[in-house]
Amino acid sequence: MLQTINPYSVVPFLTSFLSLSLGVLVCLKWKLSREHQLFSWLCFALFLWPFSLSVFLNLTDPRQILEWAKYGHVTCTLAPALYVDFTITYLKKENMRWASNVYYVIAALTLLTLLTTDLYFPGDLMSYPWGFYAAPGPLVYLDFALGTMACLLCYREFIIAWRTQRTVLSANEYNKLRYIIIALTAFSFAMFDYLPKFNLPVPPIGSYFIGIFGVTTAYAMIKHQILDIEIVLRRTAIYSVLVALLTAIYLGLVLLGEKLFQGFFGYDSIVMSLVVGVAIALGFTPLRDFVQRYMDRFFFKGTQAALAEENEMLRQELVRSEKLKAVSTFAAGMAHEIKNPLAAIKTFAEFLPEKYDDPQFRTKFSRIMNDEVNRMNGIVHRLLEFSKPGRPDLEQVQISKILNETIEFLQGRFIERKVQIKTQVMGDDWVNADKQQMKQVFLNILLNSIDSINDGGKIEVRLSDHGQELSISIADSGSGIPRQEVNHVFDPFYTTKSNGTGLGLSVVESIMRNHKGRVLISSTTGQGTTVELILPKAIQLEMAMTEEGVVHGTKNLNR
Amino acid sequence: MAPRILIADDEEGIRESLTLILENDYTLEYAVDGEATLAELSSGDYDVALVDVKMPRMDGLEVLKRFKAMNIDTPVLILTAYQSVELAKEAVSLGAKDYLPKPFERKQILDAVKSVLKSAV
Repeated sequence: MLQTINPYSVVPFLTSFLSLSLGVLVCLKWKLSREHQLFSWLCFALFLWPFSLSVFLNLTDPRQILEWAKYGHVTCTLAPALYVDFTITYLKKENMRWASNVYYVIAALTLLTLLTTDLYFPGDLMSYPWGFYAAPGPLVYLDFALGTMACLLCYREFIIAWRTQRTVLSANEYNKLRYIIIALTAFSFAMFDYLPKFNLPVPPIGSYFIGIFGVTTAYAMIKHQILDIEIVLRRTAIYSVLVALLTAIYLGLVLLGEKLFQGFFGYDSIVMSLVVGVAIALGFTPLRDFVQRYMDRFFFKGTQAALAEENEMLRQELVRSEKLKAVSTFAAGMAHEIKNPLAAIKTFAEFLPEKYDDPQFRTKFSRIMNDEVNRMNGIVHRLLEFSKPGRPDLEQVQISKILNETIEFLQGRFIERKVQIKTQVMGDDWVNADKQQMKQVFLNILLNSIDSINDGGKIEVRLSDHGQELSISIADSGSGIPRQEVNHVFDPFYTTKSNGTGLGLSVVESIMRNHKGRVLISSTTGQGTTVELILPKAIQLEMAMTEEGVVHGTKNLNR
Repeated sequence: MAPRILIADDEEGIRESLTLILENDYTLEYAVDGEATLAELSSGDYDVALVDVKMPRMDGLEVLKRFKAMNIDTPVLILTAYQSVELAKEAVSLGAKDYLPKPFERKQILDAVKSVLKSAV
């Protein structure tokens, strides 16, 4: 049976399987973005050509060869359109959307022509040492030209993006772009498979390039989480394939050994089969360990410990970046607050020489200087408080006051992003809370809301008294969060923003928990997100803490 | 008669500073929030208004918007401690004559006021 398989068809078959697997893997993240959807379609399209090639290289019946050549050519009609669309979507080049639309229209027309007429493959066959090909009609040349143009167009866009963005991208985004460029370049070289159709005796090497595309993508998924394929899934998937493969080899060896010994001893021995099985199993374990170690080294750069270390480094980098973001926001707010007293101090200092003899000026000077210096001292004090980590320092506060201070602090951002903010306070709003930590909570939520609003929108904040609890609902008219992602928003490092680090809401959740409160979130894509913070009112918190234990409660309340 | 200027800022330090700079040549009036600014500008006859962006009740840009809608043509100079190009553009697109960042120079304020008054004549 093995002798009948055309060796040239093996690589195309394997690459088709690889493309299909990648397509399925990315498809699991289908709902994440259009990028994922297009990439998965592209993988499915790239499955068809090598698969049909692996089939028709093993065929001799002209009718069947023509049939499979047609199926394979579906890739040539669809892949350019998907490639262009993926490039435009990935690089956010919406001004080039027309190009993908044109390609889709052409793809629809050519696909229809391919499947319903003989214009692509009129019926003749071409013979090469590695198999028969269907001789092309004129439309195949058209597809070749369109495919080449698509490759050049996309390549150009990716290179421009690489040149202009590589210095400003985060490490993750940088790697993502780098691997996508490598993978798509390799995929472009799959065009080599057109050559035998054009009477050039080049063996089917295009599949090798599709293989490089697949392997690069798979490697980047494993190593750099491109397309958000999670590490647990990847590791499990690889080990599953590995175990399946090795088990198949193992069973093959057992069967072969059994046959061999049966022939040698001339009788059917269960005992002998078992002996062979155990012998192979004993030799097999070190082999499996070796392969697994090699896989670990190749894909996961060493052992579990090395992987954990790498993840920890990545986590620290993200924490630093989140801190930097928070500090930069805080610094912008601080700069604004410092500039007001500075302006006053500067002007009064400037007038001092000429108005020194004016007693009225001197009185005013002394008062204004004192006030403004005190104010700046307060700002510095707040900066120190902001950087001080730790458990909540509880005191009775009016939450609306903290909220208004945060809103005021972000005023510049609201104006910049044309965001209207409305607040409504109903009932009693006294709680036991850490002022700075609650400010951090409001800051993180409001910053998310601002980020989700593209250009102009509104944020409505409502404080309502629910008897024993106080509810603070912050509703924005932003882009919203897809339903399947809402459950993850409190996970550390989970983010839907390209420049986010995913710690904001996780910090909110942790602060609220420390305050015996909770956070609820609801969102509708395209309509906005509502975050509801529920805090026990001042008296309730005291009771809750006393129930837990006098020492703990007292400690918290008296801090 | 000296030209009338409205100084709209919630910060006392800033109001006093601008007073020091402008009191010799101009008649000064004050507003401490957005709503008071709007009320003053719609009722009083001012030659120029210096309006802060960040004010309670109504920010300076909202004042500009309302002002534009009410067809009042008092020239407005926007004052702010935010250094943002977008904000400057936004203010100018809403009709502000200029955009003065804090902390300001004495000469900068005097020149801006003079230039606005000159172009109004």
